Parts: sequence; C-alpha cells; structure tokens
Amino acid sequence: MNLATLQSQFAKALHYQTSGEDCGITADQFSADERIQIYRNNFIISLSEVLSATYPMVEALVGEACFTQIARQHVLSHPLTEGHVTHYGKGFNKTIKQFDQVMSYAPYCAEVARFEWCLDVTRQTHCNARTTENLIPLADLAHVNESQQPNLVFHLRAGCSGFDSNYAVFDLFHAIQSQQLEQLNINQPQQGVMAYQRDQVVCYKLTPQAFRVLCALENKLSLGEMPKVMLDELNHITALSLIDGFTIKEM
Amino acid sequence: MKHQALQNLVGVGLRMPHLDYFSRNPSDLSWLEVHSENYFQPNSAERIQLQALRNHYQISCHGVGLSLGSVARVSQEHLAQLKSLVDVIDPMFVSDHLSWSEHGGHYFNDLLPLPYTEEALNVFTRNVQEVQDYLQREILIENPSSYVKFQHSTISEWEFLAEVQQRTDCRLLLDLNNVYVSAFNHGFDCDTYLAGIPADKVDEIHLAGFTIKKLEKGEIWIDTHSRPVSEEVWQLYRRWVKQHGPRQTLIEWDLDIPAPEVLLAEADKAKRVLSEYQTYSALESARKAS
Repeated sequence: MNLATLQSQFAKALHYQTSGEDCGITADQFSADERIQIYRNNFIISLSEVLSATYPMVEALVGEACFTQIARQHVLSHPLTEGHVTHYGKGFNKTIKQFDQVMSYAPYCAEVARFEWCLDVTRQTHCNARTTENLIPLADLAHVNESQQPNLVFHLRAGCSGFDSNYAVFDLFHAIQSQQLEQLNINQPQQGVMAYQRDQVVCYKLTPQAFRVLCALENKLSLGEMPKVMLDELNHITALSLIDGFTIKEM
Repeated sequence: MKHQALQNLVGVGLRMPHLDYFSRNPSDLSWLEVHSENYFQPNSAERIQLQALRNHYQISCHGVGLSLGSVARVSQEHLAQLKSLVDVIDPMFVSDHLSWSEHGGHYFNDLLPLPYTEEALNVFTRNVQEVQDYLQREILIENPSSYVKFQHSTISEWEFLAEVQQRTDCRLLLDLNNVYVSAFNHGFDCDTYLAGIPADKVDEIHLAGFTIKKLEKGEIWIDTHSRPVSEEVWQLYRRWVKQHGPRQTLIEWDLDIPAPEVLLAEADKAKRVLSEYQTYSALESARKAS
C-alpha cells in the first residue's frame, strides 16, 4: 500500500467510513479496528473540546452529555481545514438544527450557537487584524471643514459586528455571566453589537434605531448618505468606543 | 558544566491556564516551551503575553500542525504563520513530530502514525528539508507515541528517525515517555530503541505522564500527558543522561493541567537527576585522574 492510499484509508477510518483492517494495520491480541479506535477517540475528543470552548452557552443550555453527541456529529461532518484549531467551529448552529429533540426542547439553541460563533469571529478578526486603512483619529474631527462633514465615514473597530436575533441572546449572555437567569425572557427579538475591548469580547444590546446606524457604518455609508434621524443615534455608538477613526469619502 | 548551568537545562511546557502565573511570578526556570499554533494570531492577548514573557525566558516553539509526514507538501500558509512567530520570538528550538495529520486538505488535530517505508522516508525528509529551508534553521523532530504498526513497514521507528536525521541534518527531540509507551504497545525494548538514536543529535528531551487503558483483551498505554512522569520513565531519563550527558529537558502536561506548583515540582525532580549526573561525572573524573 503506498503512502497516499494509506493516508486516504486512515482518514476514512477516522470517520468510520472504513475499518482499521483496510489500513494495513497489524493485528495482535487487539484487532486493527480496536487499535485505530484510539486515534478516532483522540480526533473526536480533541475537536469536541475546541467546540466546548467556543460554545459554553450552548453546552450550559443542553448539558454535557447532549453537547458531546452534537459535537461528535459536527466533528465527523465538518473537517478542520488548517493545521491549527483557531478558526474551527463554523456551522455548529446548523448541526444543532439536525437534532430535533434539542430544537423542540430549546428552539433558541441554534440561535445561541450562531451568537457564540459571532463572538468567536469578533475575537478572531481582532487577533488577526492588520492596519490597512489610513484612518484619521476621532480627535481630529474638529479640523474637518463643515463642507466635508457629509462625506465623513466612520469606521468600526476590527472585529466589531452587529447581531440581529429573534431571541434575547444578549440578555442570555449577560444572565449567564451574572448567574441571574430568573428574569430572563428569551422569546423576544434583540439586536446588538459585539466588539473586542480590553482583551476580551464584549457585547452591547442596541435599540432598533441604534442598530440601523451600526448597519449603516458596517456598510461604510457617509454621514450624508444616512437618513437624518439616524445621526442622533451616532453618539450612542461613539460612546461605546466602537469607532476606530474616520475617512473622508470623495464624492 | 556548572551546577547553575545544569539547572537551567530544565523547562516546562507553558499552557494557557498558566500564562498569567508565569507572567506574574518569575520562576527560576530559564526556558518555557509553547505549542506554536496557539500563538499564530499576531494580535491575540496570548501572543502579546508570550512576547512579554520572552523578556524573562528562552522560548521553544513546539509544533503539532506541520504534518511533516503527509504526502502533500507542507502548507505554505502554516509555514508563513510559523515563521512570523519565530521571527518575533527568536526561539531556542523549533520542533515538530514524526507523524502526519493532514490528508486531502482535511486536518485531524492529532499526531497520526507513519508506515516506516522508503517512500514515507522520502516524503518526510522532503518536507523537513522544505521547512528548514523556509525557516533558515534546523528543526527538531520528536519521536511519537503510537498505538498501531503497519504491515508494510520495512524498518523500525528508530532506524527511520536516525535516517531522517542523517538525510536532513535536522536535530532530534527525544521523548522518553513516548519511547516507553510505544515499547509497551508494540513489544520492543526501550534500550534497543535508544541505542538506535544518535545521541549527539539529540538537543532536547521530553518527559510526561501516560495513562493505562484497560480493555478486555489487555492494556494499551496512552500518551495523555495528564499525569506525573512515571518512575520507570525517570529511570530511563537517569540512565540516558548518565550515558550521554545532560540535555535541555522539558516537563509536559497537557490534560487535567495541575497547579503550576505541581508542574514545577516535576521540573525540580529533573533538576535533581541532573545534579546526580554532576556528582557522578565529578566522581568519574576523579577516579580517572587517580
């Protein structure tokens, strides 16, 4: 068996698509499949631990045993595509949706997973960010001519992103952090923003109006391109330290 | 070698739960080893902490994701990330494993076993050479622990490793726990293995704990890094050091990570072994002189 075939067969065996006997493994008191099971366990457990670290809220909601089953299915159907696990875990919300019992018991569970993945992406984006744009610091706003003000474009900090949900996931996040779940009403829509601040990912609930401003900023609209009613909410976004700087759009 | 210099040979694996501890409590260790891939992100808090720790410690970058045994060539993106880390940290060692972990663009986050054949040797040495050329430095290759043997292997693991070293001029990282675990799992003798490893090419030794998995048909020993170093592995370490001299020695602990004090107590044991060597070495010199 050449190396390419062996590695192909071994990879299949790790996914239970073939047995250890097809990998040219020597059997002794243990069968080839019993021996390869050790590698299957290592592979599934190690990536499940990555999911557990990325989705602590989901795990708290469904319990460890149920989480292990969902994670196992995800690992076997979503390959890691790099030699490190930093970006692993995308699509876990879709895997959760395949578990009917989980979805009927906690229909918001997949949405919580989408929320936690967004938190992780916020962290990843900050951690890999490189300065690419020549942003002008907010402190220099005073030097902008009045005629240029409609052309101002405010830029959100790296990783800063809006999140819109049919469930009160922001309240859930804060309730789990403070261990105060009694007052939580999960069945209400919520919008907010996630950002990386002071070495951690934070999230803020926003009013629908403020959320629209955030979306406009994400789309890099200039002040002149935003409806005037939005401008009142801009101070709210600025106060949360979400703005990295500004540029002046050429019209 | 002076007493203090010998003590400085012992380091510990720096894991995430201990980052704050080592940042706040300067220990008397001179070096720490990290898993390179955990520090690839240039702006992560962990990378920034590691850069700060570099002011107090030598750092060794130990990789688990190069997949040097894969038929495919080493990922250029992975290599670029590793080089970026190496350029910033200026590590004492860069190392990875005699294993593979990628096939068809899919990675398995594990150290998978190779068949010890001429074809695998050609693939492995090609990839090691490519990494060394890219990084412009020698890397250390670590012997793995393994749970399977392949029917078509034509040479032993130690012969394969020695040949890799000879063909690529890489250095070796000798994991004595892995030798001990694999020796049990495959029924070879540890001394035979160690006799086949060119000791003068070994720059670093790893020590760790393992777990015994009891099955109906017998036991398989698993390299879990979740326990103290076993007494048998300490004995193996004593014997190797006595025969070949001291080396940079690392205590690894990756699962069920204990309080830092427990890890440091294991490091102290390694230091005591090196002290024993020093005494032995002095007595030998005196005996020869008389």
